[in-house]
Amino acid sequence: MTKHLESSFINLLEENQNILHKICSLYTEDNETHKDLFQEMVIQLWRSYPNFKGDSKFSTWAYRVCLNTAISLYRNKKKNITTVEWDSSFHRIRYEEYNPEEEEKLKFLYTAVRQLNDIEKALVYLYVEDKDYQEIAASLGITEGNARVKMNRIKTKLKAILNKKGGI
Amino acid sequence: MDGLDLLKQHWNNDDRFPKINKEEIRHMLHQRSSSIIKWVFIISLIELSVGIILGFILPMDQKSTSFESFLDITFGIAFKAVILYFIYRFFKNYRLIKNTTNTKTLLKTILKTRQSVDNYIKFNIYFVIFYGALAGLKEIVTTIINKSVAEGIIMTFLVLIVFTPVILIVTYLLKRYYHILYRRLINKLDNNYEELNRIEK
Repeated sequence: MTKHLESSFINLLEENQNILHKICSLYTEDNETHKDLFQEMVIQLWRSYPNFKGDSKFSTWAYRVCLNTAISLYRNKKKNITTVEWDSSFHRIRYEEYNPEEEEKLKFLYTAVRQLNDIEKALVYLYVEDKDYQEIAASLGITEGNARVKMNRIKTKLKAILNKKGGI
Repeated sequence: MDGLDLLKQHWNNDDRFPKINKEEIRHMLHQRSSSIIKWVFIISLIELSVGIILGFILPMDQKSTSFESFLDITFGIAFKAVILYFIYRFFKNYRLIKNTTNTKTLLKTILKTRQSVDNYIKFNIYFVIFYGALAGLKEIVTTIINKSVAEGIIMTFLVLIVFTPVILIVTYLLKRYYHILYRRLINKLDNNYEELNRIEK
């Protein structure tokens, strides 16, 4: 039974691993911390998996646990990170299909987003994932109206950071 | 183009991350968690045990009157009842921590769990101070009754001279301890919870 549960979890996670990577890319700045947060998310997801009823999509359930891990549970210990090694070299963004100007903009944008606080990053994540405000509000535990207001403020804040850098 | 719209456009570019294979995921499942919750739980258990041990090693006087014995037993029962209540609150709150709830509820539950241990620590400190003050008062009254008022006054000064620095040092050390502990562990949770509350204002 446990073996079956484990393999079904591993299959689902392998398919949906980009959810974890995407959240890690917003909350971490280097490969080691990215891996460490990724691993903690896997552990947290596995712990809750027996309670995953399947009445929501795995991806919806997973992003909520992963965001909670990044915002509430993850402790960045930086100095003594011990993670499972993975083979691939870590390229955060592959720019080859973009023009240089857009590459630069995107790089600025990532730097700017990383300057936001944990909650603002969560809003950015949910926004770029195209979640509606009802879902954003439900996920963070705030009202829909306030989620909308905050999102507008984040856009303004990002614009200010980017203007300062002479970016977008 | 709006900054976030540019990010949105490139967000689903799947090949920008390394692919983690099944074996690597399986290996990760069996790694130890290093979450804040785990540390909150460990530190809380240590603090709860320190309180309980303290309860056992508090000096017990030989009671000269049955009234004093009665007071001592009543104190003992009240102290243990309050301790049990705090431990119950801690485990009750701890069991409510679920990483699948919304972020605000999760943060609130973790902070509430931690708060029950903080209250427990405060209770222990107040109890020790109260117990110490009572013992000091008893010494003063006994001196006045058995010897003289003048000696009673001297005893009062002695009690104050010994007692005040001890309280000040213990309070200072505890404040330092909590400052370090909070900065390292809870600060992130406090800040994120505050941010969510600010959004709701």
